[in-house]
Amino acid sequence: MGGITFLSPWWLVALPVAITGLVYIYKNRTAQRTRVVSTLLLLKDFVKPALERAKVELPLRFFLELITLCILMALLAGIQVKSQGRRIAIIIDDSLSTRAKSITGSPLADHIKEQAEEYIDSLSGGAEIDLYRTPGQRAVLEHADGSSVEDALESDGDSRHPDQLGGVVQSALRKGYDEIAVFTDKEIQGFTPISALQFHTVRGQLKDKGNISLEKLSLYATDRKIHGAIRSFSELPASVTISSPGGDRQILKIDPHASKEVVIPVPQKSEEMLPVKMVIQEGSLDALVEDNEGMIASNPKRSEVIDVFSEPANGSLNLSEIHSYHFSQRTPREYQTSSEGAVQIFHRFTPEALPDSSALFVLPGNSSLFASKGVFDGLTATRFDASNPLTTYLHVNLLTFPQGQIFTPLPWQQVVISTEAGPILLAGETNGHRYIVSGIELFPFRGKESPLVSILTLNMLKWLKDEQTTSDQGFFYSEEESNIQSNVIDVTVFEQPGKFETENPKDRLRDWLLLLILIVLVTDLAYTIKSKQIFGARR
Amino acid sequence: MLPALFTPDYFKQLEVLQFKTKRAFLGSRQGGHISPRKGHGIEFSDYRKYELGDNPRHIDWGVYGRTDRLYVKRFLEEEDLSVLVLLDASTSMFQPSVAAKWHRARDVALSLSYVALSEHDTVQCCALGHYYSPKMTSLRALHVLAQDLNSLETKERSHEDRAMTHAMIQAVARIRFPGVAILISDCFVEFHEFEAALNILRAKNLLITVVQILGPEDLKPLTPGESGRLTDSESGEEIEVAWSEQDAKEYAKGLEMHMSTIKHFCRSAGIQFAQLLPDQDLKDFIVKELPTIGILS
Repeated sequence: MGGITFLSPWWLVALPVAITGLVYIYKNRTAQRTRVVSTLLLLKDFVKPALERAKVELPLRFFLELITLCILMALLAGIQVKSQGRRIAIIIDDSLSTRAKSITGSPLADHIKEQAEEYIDSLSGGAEIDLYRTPGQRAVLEHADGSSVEDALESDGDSRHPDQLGGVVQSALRKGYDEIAVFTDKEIQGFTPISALQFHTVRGQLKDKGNISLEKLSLYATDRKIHGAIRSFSELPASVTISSPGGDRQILKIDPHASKEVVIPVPQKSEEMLPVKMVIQEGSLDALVEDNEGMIASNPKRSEVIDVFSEPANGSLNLSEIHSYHFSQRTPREYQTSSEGAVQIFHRFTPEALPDSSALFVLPGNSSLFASKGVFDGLTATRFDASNPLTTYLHVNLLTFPQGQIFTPLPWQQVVISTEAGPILLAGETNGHRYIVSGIELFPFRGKESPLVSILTLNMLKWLKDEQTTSDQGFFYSEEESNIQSNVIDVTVFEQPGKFETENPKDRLRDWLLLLILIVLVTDLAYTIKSKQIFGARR
Repeated sequence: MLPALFTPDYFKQLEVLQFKTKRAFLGSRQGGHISPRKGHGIEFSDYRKYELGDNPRHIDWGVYGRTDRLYVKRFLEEEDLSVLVLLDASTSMFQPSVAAKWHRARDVALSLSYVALSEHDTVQCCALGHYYSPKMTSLRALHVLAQDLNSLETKERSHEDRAMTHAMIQAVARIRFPGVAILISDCFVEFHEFEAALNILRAKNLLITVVQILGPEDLKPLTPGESGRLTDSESGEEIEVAWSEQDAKEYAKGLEMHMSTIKHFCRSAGIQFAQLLPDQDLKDFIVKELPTIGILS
């Protein structure tokens, strides 16, 4: 039970009861003193005028409002009561790295489970616990109270899947848990503290046996080099040899508890699957050999060039910041109807007909292709389609745009983001291609400086390239994900800038709306009571 | 079954009483009261000339000797008295408790009925608006009357039963011979209604007596300092009062004024009036006070 506020549920439950009680007491205030006399013949002259009351005939509206008031209060109380129950997500890292033995000789996974069980035991009653196990099990493994969750902890997971801890954390954050407890053996980097999120790591206290891991392999399409990192958890320096078929072999030394970047050039025309192998000369220093080999997949689609049509006068679109794709910036005069590009971007320019490929139209102007309502200043996003792949990772309610173009959606278009003036971002498929019409200026691309627009832009490109944009991918700025077991998890939690709040503004709006209705009802009831002289004497 | 009040001693006290009438009333059968009808009583009335067919035994031979004319002696007939006992059975008589007013009124009615029946008078008892007894001439009928009156205590009453005049018309419609009418009531009705009801009796040339029964709460409805809601037992009307010492005094004045209005009317209309107060002994009231007033002798 929370503090004493008007919205505190138990007070709200008590309020109608108290009102009913008071009305009952008032109505029956003279019930015990009512006396039947033989006649009032001689007593009529002694009636005290102050006590004489009009016969109260309350209108139907009074009772309807009273019932509505009670329902509203119960509703409000119910909402608050429901919100009182804590929802907790427990995320167990069951990745390969947790198989490493600790100082006690038992695997780290056992210590992680113990820690999780201790945490569950420390929880006070009334909490709903969702158990996630990564990798492999992304859905809720168990949704129950503490004891059954502890039983579920004992079951083994599948540790051969790629490590998805970051994605699970992001997913849990979106589900709005009151508390998210992550039990892992990894170090947490790039973590923006959020009150709901807490990490419990067993590393440091337990792991004394050395381990040298190959982690975070990335393949940059721009230079065709594998960027990797080696991290040592050993107490001694070690010599490491890294090799990839068709690429150079690299031998390097790594200091205790240090990490080292490694770049392995690979041939331009290499296999799509590139294995990377790491060999430690001092084999005793590496307790966990499973993390010495990784595989990185090259996505051929991303090597395709995206044509961007924009007037040079519009300035640089800063597309070089988007490392995932190759862009070819052209002028509108260079546009040809038959383009070989899989995706085209039209910036402040619209062709006469829809291109024969998927396309993104940014601020198309008064084109006959789209029903534009015009350009408006100072727009605020009032609604967005959270299920749309373009809004993955985003929560754009109340996001303000200095300027934007408003459209009327065509039959094949879906509204992705709406403002108070109308739809500002539309997307849809027609003629076998995907098209996005954006009334929001997306360029120049600013990357992390403007995360919301950047994520939106990348989501659009992914969708146009027919890539599956799911909530599993938590690293929007990373290139390729390696399937190696990393010893470091990089979790980035995007806090909404400016007007965005971690609390759902919809809930707050609902509470205030209910409160407003409640106040109006109470005021009207009081007026009715006063006008009907229920509590006032007739003079 | 007769109430506990009616003990053998009380019966003996009642048996020596009889209704005192200033006028002679015709009766339906022989009784103990002088009737205006000439007949074979023992009280001399007058003479009239002998006519053919008169019984020669009624010729006053002394007068014949002095006047040499035949005269017949006439005597007043002694007949029974028709006694009509009217009980106010409105809801107010049963409030605040049955014992406060109704039982005392019932006992007065039974006592007066016994007095009449013991004198071989004819008695009719009516609980106004609710019960009309047949003519009673025997003392045995008193038990039936008591039983019938007791049954009225549990009878439900509605607010429409309270019209005294209407009930009075129904009651007097059954009278064949004028006689004595005794109205037993708390007299807590509007004066015009009370007057109208008594005028109905007056129209029947009855010798009317009003016996007022007052309960303790009629004298002091509330104690000073008390406040609350009062409900009229008859009309259901509700009022809220906050009773003070001053109110108690004013109420006493109002009650006195109401009584004096009724008494003044009764006096001017030749109606006998008796008042039975709550602290007054009922036996003394019947045996001592009513003879003193002149209702019984």
